[in-house]
Amino acid sequence: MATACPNRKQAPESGMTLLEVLIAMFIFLIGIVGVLAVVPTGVNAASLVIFQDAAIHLSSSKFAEFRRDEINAAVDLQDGSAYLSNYHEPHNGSAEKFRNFASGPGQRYEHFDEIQRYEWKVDQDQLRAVNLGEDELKNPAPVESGGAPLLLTRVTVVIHMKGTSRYMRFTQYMLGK
Amino acid sequence: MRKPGFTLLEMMVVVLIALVLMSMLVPVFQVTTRTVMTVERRLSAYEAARMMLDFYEGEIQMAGFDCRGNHFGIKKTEWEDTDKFTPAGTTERYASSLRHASEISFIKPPSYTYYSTYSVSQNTALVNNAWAVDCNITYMSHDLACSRNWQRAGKLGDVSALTTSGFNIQRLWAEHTGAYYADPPANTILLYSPPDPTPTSIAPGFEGAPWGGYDNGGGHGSYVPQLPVMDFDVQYWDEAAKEFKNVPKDTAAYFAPVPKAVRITITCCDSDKRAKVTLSRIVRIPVGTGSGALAGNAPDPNMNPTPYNRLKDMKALYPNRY
Repeated sequence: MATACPNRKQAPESGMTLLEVLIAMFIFLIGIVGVLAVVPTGVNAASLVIFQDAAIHLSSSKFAEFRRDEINAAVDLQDGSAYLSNYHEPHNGSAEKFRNFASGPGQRYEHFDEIQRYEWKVDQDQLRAVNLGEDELKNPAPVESGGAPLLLTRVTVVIHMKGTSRYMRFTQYMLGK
Repeated sequence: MRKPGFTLLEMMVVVLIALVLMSMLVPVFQVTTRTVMTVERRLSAYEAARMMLDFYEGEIQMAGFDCRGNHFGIKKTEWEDTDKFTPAGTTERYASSLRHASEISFIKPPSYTYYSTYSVSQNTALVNNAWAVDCNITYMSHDLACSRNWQRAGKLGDVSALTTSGFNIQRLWAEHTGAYYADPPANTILLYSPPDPTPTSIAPGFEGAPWGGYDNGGGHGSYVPQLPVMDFDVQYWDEAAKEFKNVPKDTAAYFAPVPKAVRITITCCDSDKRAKVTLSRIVRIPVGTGSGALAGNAPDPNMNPTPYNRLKDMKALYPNRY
């Protein structure tokens, strides 16, 4: 017995319209742009590390200069002191009273790459004598009772990358004279 | 009935749009990739520089001196490299093909106590001359400054392969050779020859003598890490001039007292030689009290002890390096 072949109506074949393809491509593009958007974050982080590296070198050098010159930090590092005026860079006119690094021919920071991008200052708000044994933490002086407390001064050097909001602060305690 | 699917025209439109979009993305990729590589290379150079400056600062701050004499020397050499990465003719000090290779040497207390176990009555071996005094001289140098001529030619062709060099050498000094019982006479150095009170082997300009320096390959020692560096340049602080000064080419300067500070300037590049960075760090020397003033006389060309704060001719001091 012969079976009859059902006369089915052919269903429309599935496929994509141009609009669907365009939408898919648009979504794909957004995905790509999203991935690319992450890259600047990585670059930014790497740039920050470079700034941190430079700031470490520069602040270390500044502290070395202070110690080499055997200063009395509590006095000599105050803005307007003879020491800062005579032996360090003048204010560069910035509102925050930063100083450029001396980088002219023969000057101390002449051979530091991109030194013009950086400026420094001693944080005047943080500059204070912290005589161990008399400080706010009431830490005992490292001497027997009756001994004089150490004449320590807290010094904070701030390194700033010009034109950015990047600051690095370095604090050391320096012995007074 | 028309078959479903794309027509040729639709496909062409889609491909065209895709091309336009992709062509817009290509420059973005290029810029991004270039930026990432540039920053990564710079970061690599900065990290190498930081590692080196941190190490050298820590070492130099351990410089000491003894009760009879000091040894704090800075030597300076310069060499013309042949690497295309550093074209000749530029005037910038560290950008041209002129490589700056310094060496800094100083006395450092021993890092361990085996040879240092003196009794209470032997407060120092310098006082009790029946014993030897042990001490390290640390040499921190550049590959180019301390290599021989035949070694140097190959190094000058590839600046990315240049490194730091040098080591700590432990020596035993005594008034008499063999004064220290456990050490062969060959490793015990005459501290001084009476009545001359100068400890000869640490006297200025005498370290190249067979018993004095590391060129003779003797003694106990440990190597200073070899770190990649194109330039290793050391300047000393001149207190009167209030500036850092360079030791002239092919000379050595021996300071007593030790200058108050030195400035180390280094140039590092990445291994692909695409980026380089020049950085400097000022290092305060805790035992430094000297003015840093050098006598302006011509460098001493003789292999004899030279007065401190004078220049010594490196070619006389280390003839086998030239």
